[in-house]
Amino acid sequence: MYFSQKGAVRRVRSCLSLLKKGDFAIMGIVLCSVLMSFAALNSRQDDKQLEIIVTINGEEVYRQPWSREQTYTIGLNLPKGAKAFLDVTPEGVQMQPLPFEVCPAQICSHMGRISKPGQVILCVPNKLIVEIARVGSLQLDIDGITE
Amino acid sequence: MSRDLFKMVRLGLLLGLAMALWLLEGLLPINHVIPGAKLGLANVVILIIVLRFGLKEALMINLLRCFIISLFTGTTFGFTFVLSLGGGICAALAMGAIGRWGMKHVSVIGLSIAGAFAHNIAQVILACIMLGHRGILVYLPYFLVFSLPTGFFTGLVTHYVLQATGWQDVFQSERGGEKSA
Repeated sequence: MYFSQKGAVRRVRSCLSLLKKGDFAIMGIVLCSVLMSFAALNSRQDDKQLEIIVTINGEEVYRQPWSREQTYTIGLNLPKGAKAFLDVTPEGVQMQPLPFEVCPAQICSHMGRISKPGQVILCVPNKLIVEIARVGSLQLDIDGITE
Repeated sequence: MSRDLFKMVRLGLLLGLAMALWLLEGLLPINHVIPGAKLGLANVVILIIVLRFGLKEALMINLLRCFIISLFTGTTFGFTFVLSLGGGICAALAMGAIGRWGMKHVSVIGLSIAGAFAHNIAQVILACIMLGHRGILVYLPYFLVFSLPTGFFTGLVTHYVLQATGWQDVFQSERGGEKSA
């Protein structure tokens, strides 16, 4: 049979037999650089201290550590005059539904609760970004990535 | 004279093939499985040029390919154009250097992995410089990990292409008696 197990093993072996010594060196360099870059980027993330960052219209309006202990609400002034409310609970952060006049699609409140570092709530009509980040970690430039 | 003409025609055909492969690659759904990942099938052609003609020709064809593809997609001198150009130049340089001096110890697969590696590093660093934000570096390890399987695959494809076309044996004569694999 063409696709017998023995044939598959032989095929894989014939692929691997193509490799020369230098190939393994190149793969080793690749793997080492992967590990090194991964380690370098994650070295400052041991403390597990998270913070909530809110950006409206490209301007950072709120940045506070998040301890996952209390429950409170953050009020935010939107450029269109309305006020947005952000519920912070020990489980996560969630947008309260905005009035339809300023946020017709209601996507931001439907995004639900975020709790892990790197997660984001976006409200496009109000240019609002709520972000959870590790304190001192690199932050992603959302405009750049979606371009 | 006719030798130069043959070379030009062959390079032109390979350039067309590279662009056709780029189009074909866009049809593969791998991009939806892993966001931003690409197989790099056009790299097969660049590998063949590196092995058959050399570094200068590979660099030239890669530059032309990036430019013509950007004319197709309408992104000439835009952000993605600079990314693909920088990646292409770095990949061609890395593969050309290894292909020139290291083919005794490296197979096509290693060559391809080195090219994918250089391509990914160059793209991430260029994106960092152009956006002025080092947050992009977070993606670097993931891109580099993907350069292993994609590079292996394109290298394997190139090996079979060389085998099927019988081009393996003509390296020496094509490169003017220069010693290569």
